[in-house]
Amino acid sequence: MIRFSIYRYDPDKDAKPRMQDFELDEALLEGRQMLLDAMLLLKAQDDTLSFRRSCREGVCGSDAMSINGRNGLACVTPLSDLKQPITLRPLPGMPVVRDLVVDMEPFYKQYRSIKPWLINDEPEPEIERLQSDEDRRKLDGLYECILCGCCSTSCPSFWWNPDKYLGPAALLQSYRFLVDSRDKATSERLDDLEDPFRLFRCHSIMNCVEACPKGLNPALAIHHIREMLLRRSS
Amino acid sequence: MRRTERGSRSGGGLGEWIIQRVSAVYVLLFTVWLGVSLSVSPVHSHADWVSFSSGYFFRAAAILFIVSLLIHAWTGLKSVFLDYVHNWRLRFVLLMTLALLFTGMLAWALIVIGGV
Repeated sequence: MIRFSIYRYDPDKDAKPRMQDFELDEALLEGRQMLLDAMLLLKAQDDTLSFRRSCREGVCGSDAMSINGRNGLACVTPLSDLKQPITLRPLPGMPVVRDLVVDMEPFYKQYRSIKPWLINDEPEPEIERLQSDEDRRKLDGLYECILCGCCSTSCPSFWWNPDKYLGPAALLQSYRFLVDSRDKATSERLDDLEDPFRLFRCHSIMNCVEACPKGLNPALAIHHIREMLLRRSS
Repeated sequence: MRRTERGSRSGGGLGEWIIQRVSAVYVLLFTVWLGVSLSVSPVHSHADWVSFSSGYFFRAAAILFIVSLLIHAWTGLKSVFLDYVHNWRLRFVLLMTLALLFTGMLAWALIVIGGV
């Protein structure tokens, strides 16, 4: 049997959250190995258990949660790596909608604020805006972000100031556009980051690097943004 | 996107970030230099201390060390207050208290080291 301890909370009915124990017969998994597989079987046992999931292969980022105290994606977390009872909680610091489902609006609000699209007012060329191989390679390690929120919700600075500090995910995305050779709003984007909160609440705690299920390095992207600001000011 | 003139926003984070790092480098360099100096020429008596610390170079470097240390502590603690103290009135009181404390420390250091 695999043992679980799962956070349960329905704000409409419950006065406060509680942890509920579950057990699952390993034979029911029929060789499937990921945490999400087990969670789907638990939901078959108790259909009031709520969590998000979609692609089940680490692309959509919707099943991000705290797994034994570390943020990760249930669909790409092997059960064999987890100590029992497997403790599942919602992403830390986010308002809980129900059980493991959180309101991601504070996270998306910061993401929207960095204008996550190419800004280029130059006349459109006949064909697409081309990049050199070297310029394209600058986007590696950035474009792969799936916006699951594992990094930002593991960052203490984001916990304390989610309304003012962009958080590692939005900052990584910001650098993705700052470094894109096709984007022409570099100066405006840097202006937008130069205040005491939006970028500089990052204290290089590095939880973001440890939490990212795609193996990205938001702390390095933040470091590069600081370098860009420094170069601009000198 | 909020449009602002470059560097115009008061209390912009970059300046403090640079100051914190430059002051840290000086504090580190001075500490290493002091450690090496005292191990090469150990101080055994009050007369040795007076001799070691009375030179113009030492006093200037030590005052700069104290200034760097206080600036470093100020930017660090201000950052802590920005993180954790969300009530701006309380934050203002805390920062003013810190400013008074650090000004007193600087004055004391100037009297002791600089002989003001």
